[in-house]
Amino acid sequence: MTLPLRPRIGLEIHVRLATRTKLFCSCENRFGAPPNSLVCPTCLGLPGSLPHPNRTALELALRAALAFGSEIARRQSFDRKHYFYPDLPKGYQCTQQRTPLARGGSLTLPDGRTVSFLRLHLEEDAGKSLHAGRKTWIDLNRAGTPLLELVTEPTIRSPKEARLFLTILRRRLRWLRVSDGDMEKGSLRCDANVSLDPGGARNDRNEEGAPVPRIEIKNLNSFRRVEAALDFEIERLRELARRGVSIRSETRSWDEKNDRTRHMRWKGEAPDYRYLPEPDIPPFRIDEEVLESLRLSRPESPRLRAERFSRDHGIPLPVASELCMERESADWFEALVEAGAAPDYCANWLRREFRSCLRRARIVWDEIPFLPGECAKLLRMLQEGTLSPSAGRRVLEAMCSPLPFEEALARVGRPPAGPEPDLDRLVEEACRRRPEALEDWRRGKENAVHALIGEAMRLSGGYADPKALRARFDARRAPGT
Amino acid sequence: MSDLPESLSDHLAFLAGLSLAEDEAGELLSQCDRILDSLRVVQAAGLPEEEQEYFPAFSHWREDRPRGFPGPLPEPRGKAWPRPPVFGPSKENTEEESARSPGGETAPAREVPDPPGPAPGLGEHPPPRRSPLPEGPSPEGSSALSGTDLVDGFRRGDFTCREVLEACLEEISNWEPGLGAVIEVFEEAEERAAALDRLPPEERGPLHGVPVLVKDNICIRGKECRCGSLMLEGYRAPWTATALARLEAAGAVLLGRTNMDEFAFGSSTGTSCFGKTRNPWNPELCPGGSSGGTAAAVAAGLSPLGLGSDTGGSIRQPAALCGITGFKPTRGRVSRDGLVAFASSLDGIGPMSRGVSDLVLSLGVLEGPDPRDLTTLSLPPLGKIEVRGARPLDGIRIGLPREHFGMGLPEAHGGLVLEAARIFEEMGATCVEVSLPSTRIALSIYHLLAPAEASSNLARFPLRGPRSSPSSPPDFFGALRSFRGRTFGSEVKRRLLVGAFCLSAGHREAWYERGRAGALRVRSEYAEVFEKVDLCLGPTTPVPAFPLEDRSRDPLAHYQCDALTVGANLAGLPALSLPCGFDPEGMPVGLHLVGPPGRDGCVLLAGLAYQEGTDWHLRRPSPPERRRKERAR
Repeated sequence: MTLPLRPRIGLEIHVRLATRTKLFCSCENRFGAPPNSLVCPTCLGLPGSLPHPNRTALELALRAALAFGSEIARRQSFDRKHYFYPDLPKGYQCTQQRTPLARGGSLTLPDGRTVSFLRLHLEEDAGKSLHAGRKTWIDLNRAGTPLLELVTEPTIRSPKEARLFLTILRRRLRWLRVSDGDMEKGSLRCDANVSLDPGGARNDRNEEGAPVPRIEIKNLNSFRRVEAALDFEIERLRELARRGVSIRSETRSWDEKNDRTRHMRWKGEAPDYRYLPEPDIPPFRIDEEVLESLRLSRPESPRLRAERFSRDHGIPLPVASELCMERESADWFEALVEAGAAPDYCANWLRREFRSCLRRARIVWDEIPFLPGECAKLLRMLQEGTLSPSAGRRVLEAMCSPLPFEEALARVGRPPAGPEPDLDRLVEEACRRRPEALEDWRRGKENAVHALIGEAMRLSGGYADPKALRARFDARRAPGT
Repeated sequence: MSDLPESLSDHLAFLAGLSLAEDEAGELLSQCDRILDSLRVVQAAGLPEEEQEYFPAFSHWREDRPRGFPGPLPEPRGKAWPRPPVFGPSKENTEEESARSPGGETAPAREVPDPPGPAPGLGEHPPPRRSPLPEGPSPEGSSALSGTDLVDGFRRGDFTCREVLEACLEEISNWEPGLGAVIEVFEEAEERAAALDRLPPEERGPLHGVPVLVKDNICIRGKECRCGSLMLEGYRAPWTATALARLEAAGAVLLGRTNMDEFAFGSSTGTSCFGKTRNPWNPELCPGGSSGGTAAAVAAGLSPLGLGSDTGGSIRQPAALCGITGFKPTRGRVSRDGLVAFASSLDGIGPMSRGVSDLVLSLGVLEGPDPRDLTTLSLPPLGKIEVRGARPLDGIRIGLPREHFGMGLPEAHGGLVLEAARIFEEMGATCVEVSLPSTRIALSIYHLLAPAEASSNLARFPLRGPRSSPSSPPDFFGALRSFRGRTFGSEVKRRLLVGAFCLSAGHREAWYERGRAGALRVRSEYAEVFEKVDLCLGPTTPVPAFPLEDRSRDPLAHYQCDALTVGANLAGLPALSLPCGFDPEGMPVGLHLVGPPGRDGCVLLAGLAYQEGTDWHLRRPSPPERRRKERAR
């Protein structure tokens, strides 16, 4: 029995850059506006309009290239790539075919393997075709928005690794604030190519020296689809190889309904794009001082930041790394610690409570309506045990709704109107449930009282007044009371 | 067919986005094949690759701020704009240096000196001499005046903007529709002239009240912009081109649109969907092209000033054939924003008028970097250009490229041009023979590059997608190709096919890339010549005005019209065509002056000096029969 042939996977990722305006005009680069509301003569391709390139788009692309350690081309230009399509208003796409922005560079996966890039380049997006029955509608809001295209070497070894790579890549791009990476908004799109490794010294040629046939899969717009499509395709290729059917290079697309790939065109039928150097944008140099200033202003890498957190705040490295998966959570951690929160408590709280609360409130980091200072007050009460975790959760949710901290605390951090909780009974019950804590405390371990107060708080559903509880516990400190 | 086997021709039409009707396909493709065959000389020349220029990134890229299109009218001169690339010797011409006198740098409306001072942006040279003219009536009525005369006249209060406008309109009604030059007269012009008349003198701009005719490929907000093509039927531009906005801000009155070859592809103004334009000197002959509408209109005195565009000679060749003065500025001096692109790397907007003084007047307003066009440069402004003394061209060296006097140039034309060279020598210039060997292949280089870029720029048409007809295929792409095939004229289709071929996979290196190398070669040859001389002088076109119907069957012969003008486009140089006499048939002959990049002032100074000493530019064609009869009554 022979081993199944190993796949070699390469990815081609289109990332929409987080600029305010489009690549070649000052229309807004925004998702979700009414169709054809963010357009101007330039992105509509009206005759007589000229491109006005956006410097921030170039800066963001260079920032990404620097972060991946790619070699940046010092001399660059744009090219026109021609094809006729209803959602391509000019009849060509402006891209960097001859002089890609950067070549090489890599991204390290958590297991230490690296995936290298072939090239990174800037280009403009096309509009969107919306098919409804027999009619097709064109929305040109997206036309001309800036894209960074990243092409990897075909060294990814499994569909799972491809998915992992994409996850890490997206995290990194978000960290760099190069893109929001939101696949639902089409900010990150992916094509995959796969071939079966024939083994041998040169793994892009088979034993006869012929190039190994490569399958390209288009239209993969979620990480799950990337994995599923690659799984399907590898199985299909292996099956063909088992049956001895020769494989031809082709382009296929993913059919979401039927969970399979479908043939689009054979290799060699690829369109002739008739590349033309863009005459309206003079070729440009990237000077050393530009790169130097970008290097100076680039954000601390997630790894370095996690190491710094671990070193300065004494939290375990894995916890710090998890905080640094997203730049926002790392920023919040730092701000909360600054405002007086205890680092270890804060780290755990951010990772769990805070995150799940954001999820329930359906807001993202950028939309958090309160400041770290307010949040630190809440955190201090939780840490002291003067507010129970469940009450804390309610307060946090109310703050997201949004309410100022004091008001949120008054509204949901206290019991609803009704009979005051019987503090003596709570204290008695807490002592009964946590005899060891009571014992420790009586022996002089001051901190043990927090466990008792915490227990009483829990019993009250978080509504008891922690100060009153403390007073009652103090009254019971002497043994025998 | 050597290069286009049957299957390839289909492929080519496919790439160009055309489906060709059976009756035309054969002829079109065989013509394309002959054109391509003629371009092989560039491949045979074995030109080396040359380094191209790179600009610092970011230097003039846009900030990432949302803003409505196209934003406020850009300042005439930006500060942080890149300097032009170094080209040829960097020594400054003394004339140009002195021409840039302090304070004369810009000519904003508010700094107009009190009357009766000199016109802003102009030297204090006396008005052109009016010698008795052998042909046509003596200038009468304000429409016969030049732009500079008008400006002076307004200042003195001799006439109002409305009077001038009405004189122009009357002249238009005298000549049209026989001439076929003006295809639309703007209704708003009268209102605008009236509004200008109400302006207090201190608020008047340097072009106050001067009527301007505009070639049909420059956008005006709310006006049709057809490029002489059925393809743009009903298209109204939503913004005004920077050049026109600057003219308007300076007080000019946009009078109307003029005819042109379809998408500026041609040298006869005979391929327009609005019909052919006639040469006012002889209605049987064509006015040249593609800015033939503007040239004919200015020659006939329908307007003192017109705007054209020049990709391979489209301003200068019709100017020569119609006996007027036309200027293609250094590439980057005038913004291309709002000019419908033909070959973007060669295109440029330029003014056309009867004399150089009007060109200078309008260029002072037109020039300057524009954030809407990245290829504009921060060139030293033209400022004042004045002709001083009896030998105004003392120290100027003029080169006569020997290759420009071959190429089938009629003897009479050559003689007139040499006579002009003698006049320049009288004015103090020295004339020497120089050589521009690439002249021989410049036209072929041009026809490798221009159609390639045109095929790219015209890929956007039709703007609203194909309108289906009963015969068109049901699928989008089929309908698109069929619509494009039906709607574009045959010269456009020829260029789209040639362009698509030159860029297609497998042929690009041998064709288009050779053209790029060729353009750089032309550029460096001119640079070498401009180390020895300050200007190049020659005939504008080797081909005299030809009959209207001629040449449409033979595109290659037609292309010869541009043989001597394309060099200035390939190298981005300032070039002037001005009348230097009449041939035995009574048709005007054009003199071509080319200068180093950025030295537009030197070219214009020489032209101005020449016109101070001659009166060829003041002659006017006889008005049409109709007017004569009316007068006789």
